[in-house]
Amino acid sequence: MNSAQKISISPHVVGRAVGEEFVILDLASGAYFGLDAVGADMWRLIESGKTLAEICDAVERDYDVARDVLEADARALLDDLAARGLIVLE
Amino acid sequence: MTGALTLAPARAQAPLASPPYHTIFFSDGAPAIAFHRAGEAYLLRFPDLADFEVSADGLSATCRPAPHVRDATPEHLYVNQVLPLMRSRRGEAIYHGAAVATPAGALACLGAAGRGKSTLAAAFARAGHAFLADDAVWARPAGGHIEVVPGAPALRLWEDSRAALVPRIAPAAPLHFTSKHRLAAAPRLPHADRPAPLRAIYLLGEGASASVTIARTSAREALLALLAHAFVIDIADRDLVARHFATTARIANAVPCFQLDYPRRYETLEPLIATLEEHASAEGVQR
Repeated sequence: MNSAQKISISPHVVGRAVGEEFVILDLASGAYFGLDAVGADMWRLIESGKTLAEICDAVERDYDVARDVLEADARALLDDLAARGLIVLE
Repeated sequence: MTGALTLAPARAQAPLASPPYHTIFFSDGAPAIAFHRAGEAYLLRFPDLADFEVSADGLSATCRPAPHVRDATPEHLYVNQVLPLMRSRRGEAIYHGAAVATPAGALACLGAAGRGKSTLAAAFARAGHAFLADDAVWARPAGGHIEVVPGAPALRLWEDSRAALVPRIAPAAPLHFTSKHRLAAAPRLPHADRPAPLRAIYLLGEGASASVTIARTSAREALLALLAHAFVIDIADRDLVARHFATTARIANAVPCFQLDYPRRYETLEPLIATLEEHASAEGVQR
């Protein structure tokens, strides 16, 4: 995926913040997935239509993390979410 | 709002045209409830006991008992299983468990079959804290909090629990599919007839602990536990499941949840209730 690629939540997926975490429900499979606080922030950014670059910009402002580490972690999370059918890379 | 039940003549359970879209099993692997579609309506089959035809809107049901079922089984199945499922069709959040009303608010207990939910509810009631529900805990947002709506005014206990806790209360007529006793609410076993704000949720452990242990769960753990104990009539209806998920997440965020374990000895119930009363008080439970 490239940094400017559009990302969207799959239509059969819903999520809710619970405490500091986030739980995603795949309505197609009935499976639940959990995200930690950083993952929850990224999910909200995906919901608001941000690209990978924009997600990293926003997270970098809130967390003390090196940009290259952040981008690698964000790519890994997005690839994982896409592989599970929870998001769509357009 | 309650669903309406019509009792139809007994009828043998003929094989159904299509397989169930969902089945709930007993712990021994036998099917407890098979969920079938009947057009846009539902047919809930309790093997060898009764079929319930539930309207698509969840507002009415017709029970057809099996020919040999002549006791209160249809009514019991309706109140404790079918009616909660009908309410779930209408978007209500209902969970397998028990709930009691204490001065601090309602306490709900969830756990697998045999974990002691009903016994704990009976022990609370005997101590003067009316039980709100046994089997099906109906929790709903009400203003800025979550409240528990009273369920049926009856508890089900094994004979050893009845003899230990409420020996003077005679059980109702037995149900032939279970040896658990049904006990109607009584002055010594009071039932709450008004909703009460839900103060805390306790997830009952298996009784391996030598003493009372109470540990706060995360909201995520609470959400997943609630979902695992939910009544949901149509798991294929995505809009309904999404709505139920949202309501349950709201409850998990609003109500503190704890893992509770304690030795399963009757003599420990009285101090356990005192411990839980204190725990659920303003000092014990911080949101």
